[in-house]
Amino acid sequence: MIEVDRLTVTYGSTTVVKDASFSCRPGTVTGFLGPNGAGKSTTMRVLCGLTRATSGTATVNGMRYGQLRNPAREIGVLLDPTTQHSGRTGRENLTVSARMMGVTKERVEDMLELVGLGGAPAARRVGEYSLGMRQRLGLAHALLGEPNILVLDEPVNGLDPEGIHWMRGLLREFADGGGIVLLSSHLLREVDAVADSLVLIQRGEIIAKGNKTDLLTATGTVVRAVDQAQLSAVLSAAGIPATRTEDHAFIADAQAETVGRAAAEAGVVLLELRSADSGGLEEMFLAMTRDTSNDDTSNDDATNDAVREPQS
Amino acid sequence: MTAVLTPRTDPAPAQPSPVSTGALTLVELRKMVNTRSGAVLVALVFAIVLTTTVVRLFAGDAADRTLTGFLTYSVSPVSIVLPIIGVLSVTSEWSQRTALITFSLVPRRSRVVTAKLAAVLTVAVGTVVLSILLAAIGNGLAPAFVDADGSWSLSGTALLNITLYHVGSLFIGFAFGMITMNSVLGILVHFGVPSAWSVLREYESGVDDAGKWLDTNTTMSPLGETVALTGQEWGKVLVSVALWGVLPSVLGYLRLRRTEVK
Repeated sequence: MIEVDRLTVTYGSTTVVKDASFSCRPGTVTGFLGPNGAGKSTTMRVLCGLTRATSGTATVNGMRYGQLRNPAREIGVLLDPTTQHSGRTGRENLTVSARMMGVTKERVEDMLELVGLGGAPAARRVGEYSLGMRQRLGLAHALLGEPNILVLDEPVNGLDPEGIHWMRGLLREFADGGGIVLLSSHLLREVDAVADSLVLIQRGEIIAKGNKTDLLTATGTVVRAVDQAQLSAVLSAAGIPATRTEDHAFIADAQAETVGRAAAEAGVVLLELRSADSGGLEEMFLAMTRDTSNDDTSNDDATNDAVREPQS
Repeated sequence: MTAVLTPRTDPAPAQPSPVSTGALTLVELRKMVNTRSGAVLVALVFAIVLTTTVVRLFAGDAADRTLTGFLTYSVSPVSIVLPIIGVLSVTSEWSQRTALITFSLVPRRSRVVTAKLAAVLTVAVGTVVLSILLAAIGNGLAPAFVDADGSWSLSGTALLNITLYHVGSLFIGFAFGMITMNSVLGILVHFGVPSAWSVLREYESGVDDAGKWLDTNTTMSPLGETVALTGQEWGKVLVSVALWGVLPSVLGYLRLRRTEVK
């Protein structure tokens, strides 16, 4: 189990994480979503004992990370793929860690094979690795201690589409075997494809969490009319809260039927009327962050930032 | 594939036990030699001892061609390289950012520091053993080539002095690594401070007096000899090592305990 309970982290006067609570259960992949700088990495770092909580707790199997006697055997961590020693080979990096956690050389070879770095790549220095290869090595490292929990910060960064597909399958398999996965990303589609549980964070605050399907159905109705100004007037007259989306539709906080009836009574010609969940996670995320966001840049970061290096 | 991926779902009756400090020390020793720079430094130590042995074999007085003579000849040259190994044993974690992994695997940072210190001391002892081996080979070969005394005597005092000399210089390197957390800075400061000190001593008699107690180049030089140190000489060794070894180590450790690993 991962449990984050009323976690707050402040640096001086800046609050990076504010009163955050969520938990991750066996058998699930939890997607930890938010724009860059929202507090995802900080939350994960507290969980892994690398950053101190100002208040609140983050526990792994009921204990703070620092209390775990051999943490890598319980929780596999990939926070930053660039922290493997560039002057050592991939195999040597894993071997050093294997000895620090007390696992065998065979396990090292198995993990290298599993992530597709067996053979020649394992004997190359990590300095020669691409970001994608480093991510693979990082994942092998996280799995090395046979943990039942994986905590991965932006693990698909730098992977090619085939690699992303592969990692998705691997994480799903791990969770289906009873493992717990907490996976952060600003790439909504990647999380959408693999997560069954979601935690959305913005500006350090958890703005939504729970089962993905539940969250998606609770996000309202997408509606678009020939005359958008007229539609906007009708919705506000009917007392239905609505926000305008990037592509000039509205997301109305009501069932499709309610919205449809209001439009019909006013004689508004609709072009589109559907539940917002069919638009997927991205639409939901944009709708939610728009509610609490004063600037637009964070949304742009969240969607267009696929190639940026992970921030640590 | 599936078998290796399966998470351990057993309800973990007891917490998995951590590896021993001895095993961590072996890992630290491995980390000293599994990079190019590390391997070069260790090779350099070997090369220096080998070189001094060969030089002594063919140069100098016959009376110096004894086991002790061969042994002491390598002490001072080797002690130039050893502190660098000490510095890098600590700082490579920060320059390569592996500290994030190291302290994730072993959250009790004192255990990592202990293992590093133990590894550094092991290198010191290892250097002594290597020096004795090569000195013995040199001393054994000498009579076959040149005029040599060839005495095999090696006093406990000489052995103690040499061991402490290497332990001291490695420990001071370690300490500079702990306080600077930066390879280049650590090495520069390690070589820069004594030199600056020596220059100052030329001009200021007060500095000179202090230097007799605080300059490790001066205080530790009796350890390069084979005679027992006097009480005052021991005092100077202790005071200088406390200043340049213990103090930076402790300050560095206190900071390390709180440092946020990036």
